[in-house]
Amino acid sequence: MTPWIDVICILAVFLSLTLLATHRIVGMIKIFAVQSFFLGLVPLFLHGGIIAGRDLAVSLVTMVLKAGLVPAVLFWELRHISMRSEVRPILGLGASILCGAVLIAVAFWISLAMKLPGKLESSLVLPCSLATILLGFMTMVTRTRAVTQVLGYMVIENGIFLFALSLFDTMPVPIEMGILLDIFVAVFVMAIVLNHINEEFERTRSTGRRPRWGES
Amino acid sequence: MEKIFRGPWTVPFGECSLRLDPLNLVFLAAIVVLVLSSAIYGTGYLRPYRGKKPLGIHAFFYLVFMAAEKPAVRQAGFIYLIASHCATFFLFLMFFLMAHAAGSMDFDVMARTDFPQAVAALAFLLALAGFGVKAGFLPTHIWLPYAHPAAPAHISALLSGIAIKMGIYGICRVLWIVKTLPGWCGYTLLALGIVSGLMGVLYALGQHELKRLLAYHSIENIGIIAVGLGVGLLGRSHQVPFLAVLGFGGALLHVVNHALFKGLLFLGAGSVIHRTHSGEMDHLGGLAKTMPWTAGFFLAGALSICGLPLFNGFVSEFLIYFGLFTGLRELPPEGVVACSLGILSLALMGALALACFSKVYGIVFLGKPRTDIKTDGTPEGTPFSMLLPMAILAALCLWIGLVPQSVTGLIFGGGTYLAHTDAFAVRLGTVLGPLATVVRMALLFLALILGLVLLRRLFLGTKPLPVRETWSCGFVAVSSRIQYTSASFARMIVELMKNILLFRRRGGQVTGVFPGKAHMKSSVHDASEEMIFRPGLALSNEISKKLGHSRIRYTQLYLMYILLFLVFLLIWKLK
Repeated sequence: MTPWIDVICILAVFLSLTLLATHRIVGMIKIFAVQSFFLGLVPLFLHGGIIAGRDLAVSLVTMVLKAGLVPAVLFWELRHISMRSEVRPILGLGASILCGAVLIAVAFWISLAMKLPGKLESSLVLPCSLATILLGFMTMVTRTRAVTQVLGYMVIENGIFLFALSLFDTMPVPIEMGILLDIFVAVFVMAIVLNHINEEFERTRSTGRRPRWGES
Repeated sequence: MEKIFRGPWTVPFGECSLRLDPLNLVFLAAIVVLVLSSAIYGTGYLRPYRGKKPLGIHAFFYLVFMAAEKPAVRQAGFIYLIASHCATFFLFLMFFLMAHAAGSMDFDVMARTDFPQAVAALAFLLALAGFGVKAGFLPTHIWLPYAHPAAPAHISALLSGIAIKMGIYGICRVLWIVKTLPGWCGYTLLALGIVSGLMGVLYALGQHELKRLLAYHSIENIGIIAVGLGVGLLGRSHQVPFLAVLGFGGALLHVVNHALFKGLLFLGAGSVIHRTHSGEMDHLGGLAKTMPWTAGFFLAGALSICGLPLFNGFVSEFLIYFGLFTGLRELPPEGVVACSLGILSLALMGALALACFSKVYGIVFLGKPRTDIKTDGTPEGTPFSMLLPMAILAALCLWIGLVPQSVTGLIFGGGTYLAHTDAFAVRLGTVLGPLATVVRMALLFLALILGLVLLRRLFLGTKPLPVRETWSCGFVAVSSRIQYTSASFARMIVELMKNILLFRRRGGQVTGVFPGKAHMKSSVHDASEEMIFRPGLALSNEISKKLGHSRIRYTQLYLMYILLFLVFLLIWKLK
């Protein structure tokens, strides 16, 4: 079922790029949820269409956690700290996409030289997972809101997830489950911390600049 | 003449072996005497502090950093910390280099190794840089005038008498280990000694604070020691064993002597500060009347440090002079030039030191008090536990000065050990003969003066002598403010040398027949501090500020650098 995996890989990169170019936080969370949903499908196509019990378990847990709970927590956070849009993106739309394109090229170039122990389901998995990681990183670089930092971090995790899936046979399920749980707890903790910061400072900008009059 | 103690246990990267040889015997002698005296002195000096703070396990740190609440003291500690770390860096390089060439960290193995010329030269330069900072050679001495006055007096005595000698010991040890030093090393050491000695005493002349002045004199004496070592090295590299032994022996004796008289002077200064709570010379005066014992001991130390006969400073400087004059006879032309320069500058150092200590003794102990000095009313005011160590040190200074034969075994043992020769014993008489003659002549001179004094007593008999104020000079309204100050005493010499001294003077111009109040402030600044280290510091501050501007004010930029680095690493490792 390699074509499906290829499609999902391309989608993951495309969605990461979209996320990088999006400035509305609500939109970003939605994109992240969609990306996580598609990535959750990958285990089902891994072993030539034969869906084993553990593939199904991984898929379900991933989808529920990352496409369901994490976005829910983030939305809950947004409601509590009442801000909807990115105020001042560091990079504009064009520049973001340009940077993203360069990073994707770099990822493909790097993956050419990379040697993995096992055989991959699809030749696209490695470059796409690297590209997703780099794009997630780039999202963290270009955003000034704490919530968007969390989102960038989650995208990086999605990239790692894709990478791990390509080595699925060598990676025990409990470990993948443990990582997922860790991520979820991390997001949860971050939400609580953000809430506290919000109460203390009434702002969640991670740059050192004080807000001007009229800025949130 | 070597005793080696090897411990039954091994420490990491080596073994525990202690060794007593003629070289460290000299240093140990100085350490033992001075540490004992300082310890006794401390019991009296620190009495006012007793009971204020508990003296427990942290007593040492408490004593050393007793005044840590003063910013100047903290700064001194900080400067010393930096200087000593830089020095240690060079020493690490040096020892690794030597260990690499010798194949072992053991000094004995190193001493048996024939180092290639390049390695020997490099090790010598690194030793000069590393141990030179510790010893206080110019221009890396700048920590010294800050650190020494900051400690309590008896600790200053140890710092000046012992701690900086460890730099000298290190250099001696390297000279002993590396036998194949190139010819220019001796000249380098000689030049370094001349510069340190001259500049040290000139800076000392411009100081107004007692302990800071003494600290600068340490630089001068380190310079004299370096001149001695340089002479010894010249003798060694030109195969003139007599010259080598004289130079090294003189340097080693000066190490001991400097420990004795500088310890004595610092303890004397401590007594003055203990009594008057001020080390500013312009606040003091006339202390010889109120502190006769301290004044006497301080005078003994001052005469020793000036290198006058009958005291120990003369003996060691005599040996170095003798070496330099021998060098005139036995060295090739360039050595003759170096030796004559050495003689001239050693003479100049002696003269300037004499001027400097005339100033110190005259300002602090003679004349009248310049300010109201609060005393407790007792005649001397210095406890016996502080006088005793000074008496011991003064007696030792006098003893070495009068009976130099008693220390020749120790000193020339060390000298021959460093010179790698044993051909000296034959010609010992050629040095000791003239030395004894000079001492005898000085004694004769002293007897002459004493005789004249007695004669005066005899003739004057019981006639009453009018007693006048010290600086009255026929004036009626005598004020203590018409006395020489420490600045005005040194002014002539300092202004003569102002081209190399950074002498600064503000105010002091009076006009009219009845001039009003005027203020004058003069100070001598350290050229290497003002011209090398402060600009260097300013430059590094400037660079860090520039870097600070491009420094990341956003977390996001940090992230970006991490991202770029990650990509770079991936590309680099996977290419």
